[in-house]
Amino acid sequence: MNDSHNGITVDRKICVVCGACAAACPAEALVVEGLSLVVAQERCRPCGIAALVCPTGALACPGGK
Amino acid sequence: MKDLASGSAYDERAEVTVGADGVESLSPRWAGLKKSLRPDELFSCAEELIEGIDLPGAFIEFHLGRSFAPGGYAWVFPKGKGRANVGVGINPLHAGGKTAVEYLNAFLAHRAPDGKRTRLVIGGCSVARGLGALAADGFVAVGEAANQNNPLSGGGIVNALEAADMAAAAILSALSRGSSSAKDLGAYTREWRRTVGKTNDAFHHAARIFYGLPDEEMSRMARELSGVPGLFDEKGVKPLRMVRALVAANPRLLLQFAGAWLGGKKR
Repeated sequence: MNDSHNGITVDRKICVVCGACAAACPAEALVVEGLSLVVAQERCRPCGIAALVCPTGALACPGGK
Repeated sequence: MKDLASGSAYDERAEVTVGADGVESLSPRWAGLKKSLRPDELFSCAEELIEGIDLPGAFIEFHLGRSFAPGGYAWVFPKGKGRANVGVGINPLHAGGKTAVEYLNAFLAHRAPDGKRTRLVIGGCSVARGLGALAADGFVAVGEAANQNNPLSGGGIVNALEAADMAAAAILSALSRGSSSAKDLGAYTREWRRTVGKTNDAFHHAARIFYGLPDEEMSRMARELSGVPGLFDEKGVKPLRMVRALVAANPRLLLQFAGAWLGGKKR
């Protein structure tokens, strides 16, 4: 199942919750909670950085620069 | 705080909180010590445990170059019995839109085409410059959360252990005086910067130069190193001899390093 939140899209089948996106997200819109990646929809700008650093390609950000 | 097992939220208070929550850490940001990592401060990594890989000797391998690992490196770490951890760490800004997993697949096709994949590990690895301060009032940051990895290699386990020792000593000293202030906990920052942090700063400057070199330049340097006598002993490469040989063959490197060092001081 995919989650779509204000530009950033998480492919839950591919995401391994490694936290790279959370480390790079300037807005703290992506947070690792235990074994889950939580997306705070209202915080996402979207800038595209999280999708850029994702090692698996699980994140897409069509609105990113 | 939130109990992830039960989902319940509750308050918890401590004299000093240690933020050791890894690369995805937010606690140092909340303490005002750190910002988010830029894409070029984060290796995007993928590694697979391979069985049945051809290993010519008990050496670790580093493979450099834009085709296998742009802005980073690919590695083979032997684990015995024909097994090895094989991985790549890339600079996402130089990856041309490809992911670390895609680069790993390409590297495995080259280095271990007949190997059996048994365990995939994926993640980000901080290669950022060290933080200016590691302590705030009632808070210290440790490990990858505090940008304490070696910025050239990305390795961070030993650094984190040493930092934890230093942080613990500073916390005990501060608490014994009834303080948990940033000023008193700052002994940890000073000790870190005097020791490992100082070395890490040098590695950071070296990384900025090294990973920016064109492939042809890296190949030329590798050829030059292969002709240096006494570069290896039974323990492996001699780092100082290697640096001396590289600088002797490429005096420009010394100027670049000095420039990077001075540039870093101004930040």
